[in-house]
Amino acid sequence: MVYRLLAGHLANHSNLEVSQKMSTAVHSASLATDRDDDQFFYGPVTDYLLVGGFSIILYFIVSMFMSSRDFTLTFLYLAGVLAWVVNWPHFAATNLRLYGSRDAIRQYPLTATLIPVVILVGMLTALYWPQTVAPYFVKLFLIWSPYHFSGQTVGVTLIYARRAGYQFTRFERTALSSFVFGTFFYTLALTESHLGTETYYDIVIPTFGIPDWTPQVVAPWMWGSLALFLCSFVHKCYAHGKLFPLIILVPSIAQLFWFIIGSRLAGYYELVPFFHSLQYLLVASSMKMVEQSERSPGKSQVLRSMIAWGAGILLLGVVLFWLFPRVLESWIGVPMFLALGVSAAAVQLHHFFVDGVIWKLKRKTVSHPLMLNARRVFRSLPSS
Amino acid sequence: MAISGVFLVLVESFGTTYAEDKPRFSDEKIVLRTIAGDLILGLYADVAPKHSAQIIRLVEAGVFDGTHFYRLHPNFVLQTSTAQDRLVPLRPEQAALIHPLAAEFSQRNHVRGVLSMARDDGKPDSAETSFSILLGDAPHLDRGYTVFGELLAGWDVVEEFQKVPQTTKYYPSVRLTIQSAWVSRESVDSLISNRSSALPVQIPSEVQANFEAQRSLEEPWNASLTPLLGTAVVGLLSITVLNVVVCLLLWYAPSVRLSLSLLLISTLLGYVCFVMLAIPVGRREPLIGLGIMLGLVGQFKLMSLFDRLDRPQTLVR
Repeated sequence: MVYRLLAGHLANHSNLEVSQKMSTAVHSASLATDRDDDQFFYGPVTDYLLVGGFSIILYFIVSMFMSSRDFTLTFLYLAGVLAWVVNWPHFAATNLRLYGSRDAIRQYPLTATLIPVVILVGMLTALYWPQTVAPYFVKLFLIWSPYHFSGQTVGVTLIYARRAGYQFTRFERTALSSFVFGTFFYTLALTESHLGTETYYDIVIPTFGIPDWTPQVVAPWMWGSLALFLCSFVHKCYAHGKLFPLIILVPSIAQLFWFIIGSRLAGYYELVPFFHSLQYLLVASSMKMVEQSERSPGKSQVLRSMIAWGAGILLLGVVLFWLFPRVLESWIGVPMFLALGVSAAAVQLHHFFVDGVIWKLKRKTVSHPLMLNARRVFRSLPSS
Repeated sequence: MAISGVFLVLVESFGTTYAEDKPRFSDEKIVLRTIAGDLILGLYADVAPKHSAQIIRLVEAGVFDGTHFYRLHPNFVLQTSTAQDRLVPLRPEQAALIHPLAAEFSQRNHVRGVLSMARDDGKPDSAETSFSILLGDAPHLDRGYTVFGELLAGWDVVEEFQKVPQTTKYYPSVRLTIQSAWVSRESVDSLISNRSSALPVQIPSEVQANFEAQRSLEEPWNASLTPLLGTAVVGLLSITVLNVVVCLLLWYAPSVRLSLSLLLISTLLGYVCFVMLAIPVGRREPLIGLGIMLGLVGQFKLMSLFDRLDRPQTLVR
């Protein structure tokens, strides 16, 4: 199947010579390798860990040391450091994917042109009225962010299911989405059900003050949906007489730890954006590797382009999250904390829009590389 | 096997996090008579025996008389001052009773209503007299601070305290004095039935005026609607104009994708302006607040249609 997918895709390429070489190489590779690899972007260990397993393991480690305040502070510091090498590059990867090729810009012209203008205007308005507009600009991002995490969790689950040949019924998909978005609603309801304020980089944001009973209403919905999803998974395994790969469950179980179980640990909760970014980079890097492998004649070229991509997203991340607010501070003369808060919200709002269009599995150019094992495709290439 | 492993992990986790047995209260209850009414505190003698015993000793010695709640962080904590911050200085025999307490961290979580002993940062064994009543769940304090009891009655008093203006954030502008404190061995039911309702805290008019001025400056959503209304009306008018333009585009534009996307983005902008306008109302009426919040989440769902149609389509006129 890998061979057919890849060969079918390559047939569209103008460079027939490369296509033929690739098809042959991948064919022989797929014959030589265990078919179970198809279930993963890279391999079982990497995928299980990065897609959520690492975050679950870390929860138990943090739980053991949570009584120490110093440990919590260490985690907060760690979250700050990890932002540079994982969180920020994850945002940059989206931008690079959209703006890195004219084809992508042509495919999503409004996202590429209109959204930055709208967000820029919103950002400048927020900077100009820090007490009237900024709280709502930031609030929009603060609520959208966990919603976006939830969307990714559902998306990654569906990719793994498709890779494993697990056909989601409408009921199962509803139960999964209901559970995953239920975790989002539950944490949102907890935050918003009191008459208070939140603070983000010194920007004071009002809560909605929704009824106190909202979390109690959402909780049974969330747990019920999880039970239904797990029951349907077990039922399907029983009906097919085999155990489907548990990695299908890992993203949603990880989300449970991120939003519900782990939310009780201060240090852990700070790392949730990092876990989300890890998950994202796993998928994005695999996709990039498959695409590069299909275009390049040899391993060394793919490696070079992957290193360039990694360096590019690292650098762009620093530009977006470190340099950009400092430029705003010096050019517009706004306080640093305000610039940091509003610019971070702007970059992330842009990310939500871009992510909303570039990962649609209905597009063959998206679904095709997402269904291949990057490691196998790479190994199938000649060395030079 | 692996599935049952996942379940086990979950069950264990919930076991430690959520499924808690109600701890036994000691026979002694603490009554704090404040300027707004009585707070009745139960002590977890089994969970934190040393802390409970020490609190009883200090209350019986009159150490808490004249102290006050110096910090009120809504949905987080209502914290007492240290005994040294009493209206009347401690007598030598009272001061002699105060000593640092070794931490008694337990599986009791920091949930709304529990009493948690304050201590110095980085020094688990430094708790003396200051403690907090949790006004909301605070899981980040779990196993880091000693939980030693629970507020059994007096939430109406806390509500009255919350109405008091704050000079700086979380510090009440009026001294929330604990006039006296005593240990009672009456049953909880009896204590509660004999307890009178809370009284409003008397706030000097100049304090109230300063507070209103400060509040309208710092938190526009709590202030009079007028300044916010202006901004929101301008915003909504702009959005209406934008929507009219979009409607015209829907008629003349060659692309449904463009028109739909413009409509979506203008709807989102309009909704944000609406939130700005409506949040003060929502904060007074929780159900309206819920509606506004759900509407915002609905906007995110709508945005998944943005720039989505694969091919530009000509609008059928």
